[in-house]
Amino acid sequence: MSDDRKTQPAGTPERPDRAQLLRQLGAEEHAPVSIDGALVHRSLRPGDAAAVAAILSQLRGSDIAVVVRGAGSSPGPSNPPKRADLLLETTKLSGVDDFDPEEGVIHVGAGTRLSTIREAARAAGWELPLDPPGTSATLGGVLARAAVGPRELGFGPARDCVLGLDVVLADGTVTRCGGRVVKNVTGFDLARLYTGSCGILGVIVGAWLRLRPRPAAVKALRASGFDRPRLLAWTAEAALRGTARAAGLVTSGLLPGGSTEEGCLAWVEFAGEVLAVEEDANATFRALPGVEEVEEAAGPLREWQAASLGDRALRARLHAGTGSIETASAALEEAGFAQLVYPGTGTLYAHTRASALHGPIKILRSLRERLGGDLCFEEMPDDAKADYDAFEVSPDERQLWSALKQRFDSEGRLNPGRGAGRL
Amino acid sequence: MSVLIDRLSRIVGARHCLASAEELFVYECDGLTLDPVRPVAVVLPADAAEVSGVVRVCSELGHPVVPRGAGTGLSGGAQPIEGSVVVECSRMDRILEIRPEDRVAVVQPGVINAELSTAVAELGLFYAPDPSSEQVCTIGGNVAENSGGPHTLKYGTTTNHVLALELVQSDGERLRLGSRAGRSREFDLVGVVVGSEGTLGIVTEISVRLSPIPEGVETLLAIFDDTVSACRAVGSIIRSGLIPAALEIIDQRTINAVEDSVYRAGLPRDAGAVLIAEVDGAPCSLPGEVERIGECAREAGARECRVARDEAERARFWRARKGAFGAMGRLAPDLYVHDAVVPRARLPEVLEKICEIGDRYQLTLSNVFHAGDGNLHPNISFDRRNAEEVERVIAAGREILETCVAAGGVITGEHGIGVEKRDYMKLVFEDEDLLPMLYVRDAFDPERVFNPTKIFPTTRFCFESNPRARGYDRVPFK
Ligand SMILES: Cc1cc2nc3c(=O)[nH]c(=O)nc-3n(C[C@H](O)[C@H](O)[C@H](O)COP(=O)(O)OP(=O)(O)OC[C@H]3O[C@@H](n4cnc5c(N)ncnc54)[C@H](O)[C@@H]3O)c2cc1C
Ligand SMILES: Cc1cc2nc3c(=O)[nH]c(=O)nc-3n(C[C@H](O)[C@H](O)[C@H](O)COP(=O)(O)OP(=O)(O)OC[C@H]3O[C@@H](n4cnc5c(N)ncnc54)[C@H](O)[C@@H]3O)c2cc1C
Repeated sequence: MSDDRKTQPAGTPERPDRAQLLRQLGAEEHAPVSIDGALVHRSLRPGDAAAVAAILSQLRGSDIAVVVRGAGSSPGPSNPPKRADLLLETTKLSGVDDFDPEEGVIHVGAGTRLSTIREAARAAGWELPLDPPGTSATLGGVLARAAVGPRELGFGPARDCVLGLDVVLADGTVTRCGGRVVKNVTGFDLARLYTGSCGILGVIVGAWLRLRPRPAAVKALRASGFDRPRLLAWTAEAALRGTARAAGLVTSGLLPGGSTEEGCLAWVEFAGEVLAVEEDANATFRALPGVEEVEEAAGPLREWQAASLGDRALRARLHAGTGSIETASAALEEAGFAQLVYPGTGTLYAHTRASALHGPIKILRSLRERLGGDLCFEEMPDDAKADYDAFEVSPDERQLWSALKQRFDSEGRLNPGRGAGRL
Repeated sequence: MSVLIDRLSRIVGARHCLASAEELFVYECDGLTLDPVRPVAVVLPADAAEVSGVVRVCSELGHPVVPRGAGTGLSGGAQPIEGSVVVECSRMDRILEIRPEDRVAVVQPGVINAELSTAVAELGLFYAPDPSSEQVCTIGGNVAENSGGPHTLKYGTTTNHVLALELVQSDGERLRLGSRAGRSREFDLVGVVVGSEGTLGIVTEISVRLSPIPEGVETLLAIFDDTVSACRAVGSIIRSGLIPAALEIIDQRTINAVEDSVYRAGLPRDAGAVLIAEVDGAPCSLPGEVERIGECAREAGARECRVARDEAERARFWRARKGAFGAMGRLAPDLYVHDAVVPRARLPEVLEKICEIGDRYQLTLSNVFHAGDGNLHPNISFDRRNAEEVERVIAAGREILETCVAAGGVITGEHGIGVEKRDYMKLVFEDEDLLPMLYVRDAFDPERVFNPTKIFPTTRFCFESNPRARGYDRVPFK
């Protein structure tokens, strides 16, 4: 018992009753695991929804904070937990439970790795329309983050492939929303609310996903050696083509050595019907000298999307809209940010390293105001996390999220502090 | 009461505050007509500030607020509630901004769906969600219902095209959700407001995504001896890996109703069903796609496949499809338009079962539906003056929904729950599943000012619509 107290630097000191409760649940103590700086000493790996429900309902009335973790792979945007007593790991909630290859819909456990789902889909001629960076990410982690990769251009946002979700609420209530059909307005569209809410409303335990037919043809192109405006125009033009599935540009500041002489790098990918892909790829190939056909475009872009400038790096994601992409990119360049730009979705990843973040963040915020867009901090030094909310939601939205959190999780048990506005 | 009318009139002007029996009569129901309720007043605000003032007064004086667009909803979403004030958004009908470089338009909620596409056509753009009621329904109503249309298969429903909203809350506060650059990836609230059937607030401004008009379109009409074969064709088209823009089926009874009406399109009256299949995109790949669809159709037993030769013929096919509900007004005085979804592979068996249910209850049942999405519209023609027949209509309707749910489906794909299906929610959901929906409603509207009796189950039961009485058979088609 006294050991419990000694090893509890984060969160509330472990009172005897809560230690006992945690032990009752079978959560034995282990070496501390850091979740965004908060140290957790106990974890549980429930095997199904009922087990998740049993844990959460037994915690009712206690002040034990639960942090949900999938593969724990992501250094993506998040606020550090305010309290963290128990790690709820979803890795055992895994596997494909139901797959209708006629229909192209699949039901999987939240702890399933995307790679597993991708393989199951591929074997039956379908494709999973989710391609975030990383190889170990779980479906639950990806949906909680609404994480996407370069193919968002072709696939759409993460929420678009979610047909239904199984969610255990903070008090242990097992719920379901949506369904397995591709069109559905039976009640509120809760799946869209849970997707991207970073686990503050409930624990996702399973999902019905909509797959896409595998394209008949895919072609990838790469261009280099030009300055940013020229290459961005090429990439943006390609992104407007009907079969464009990914299109991105990396500025020289992000490349190793950061040399401007090498210019920028850009990749585009077309996927769809053979003739249409051929036509789009040919036109894009001819639009700039020196373009080469390559094996893969989305792969390298995905890696660049996860790139970090290292120590004291700030990586912000700015949604500027397709029409303002050149304005935004030029402004970022002017201010010295390295960039990955997806012109087709109007998204920019702005990178810099700074001992004080005040300056760069001010620039980013004013750009967001000017363009009427959205801003989110995907990576920042730990010491800055206390000063900046990773999700820069508006006061209007924060007010509603606060009201939602209050109702979904009145005891503030799930991922406390990790939501927008530190909810 | 006069205090209410007086205060509302001061906000919107006396002309735009309706309170006499004659004026209120037409607002007693929407597309669901059997259970009319008279509101205490109908107001027609000119802008968001007036909406905000109106809502504040209603909240203060304890009157429920029923938002309303064009009143074409088929599940009673805009049906008044006892003591309610209906807020009709038809005067807020301006397109506020068009940003072609962002492919975004900002509109007021009263803008008519089809008018937006017309307004942006010269820019090479269109607004993709295309409910059959597009010539009259409003974008505000579409947002509230998350409406779909024949082209949902490729383009998605309303939710895929809404970027940002302004929402007036019960205290009159105006909240902005989303941004015109796009909905936030994380912590998106727009998605839950879309499809919330006017229960979370009044939407006073909408930023929508516009889509480029496809370079090429091909439309194919496949003619079958029976509906089940047409459904099999749809299944094999989906399996073939194609993503057509639309796959719509019209059955024989509907074909004949259409051919007897102003929407006549020269469809073969002896056909058991026709499938309208449309592909769009790069012109170079369309002939191949049409060929593959034709193969799937022939393998499933199509006796003929016609490809529309020109835009006029294409428009004729679509006139038949989009005018079908209106045309069915001819079959009987009343029409119950059902809306349910099943997995596409289950369409043949479910449809057989639905026809069997119709026969067993001795009802005139016809089908015209979004087959590519598995979204069925079994339509029952009847006469509401015949109470015994009405009972059979209700019983058959329930069995149809149960059949769809048993096949893995749901009770509505696009028309919403409203009052019509609130007591069927439990066919799909357990009580626990409704809890988070209640949390959402209470987070947005703790006082339950907006459409308080909608969506959630009660013991009351309402239904039906009469297309002719509502004038849907006069919905113009361009
Ligand atoms: C180097 C690298 C960089 C990356 N950068 C980004 C990035 O910047 N932005 C981005 O979006 N993605 C990024 N990703 C992609 C990554 O796929 C996602 O972040 C994904 O969330 C990781 O999945 P996970 O299983 O590891 O989740 P975890 O890291 O375990 O969890 C992520 C979040 O989801 C919550 N969560 C997990 N499972 C559940 C569940 N079942 N129910 C409810 N909540 C749950 C957690 O509490 C946590 O808040 C990156 C990946 C890599 C490898
Ligand atoms: C002939 C016919 C064909 C149809 N075809 C289709 C079809 O193909 N696909 C389809 O999806 N539907 C279809 N419908 C149903 C209907 O047209 C749609 O649901 C449409 O979106 C309703 O729009 P409306 O403007 O008429 O809204 P209303 O019927 O007035 O209202 C519908 C709902 O929206 C709410 N609402 C309206 N305005 C606002 C606002 N500003 N803020 C908040 N809530 C609001 C109301 O409270 C109500 O709950 C059809 C209807 C008819 C009569």
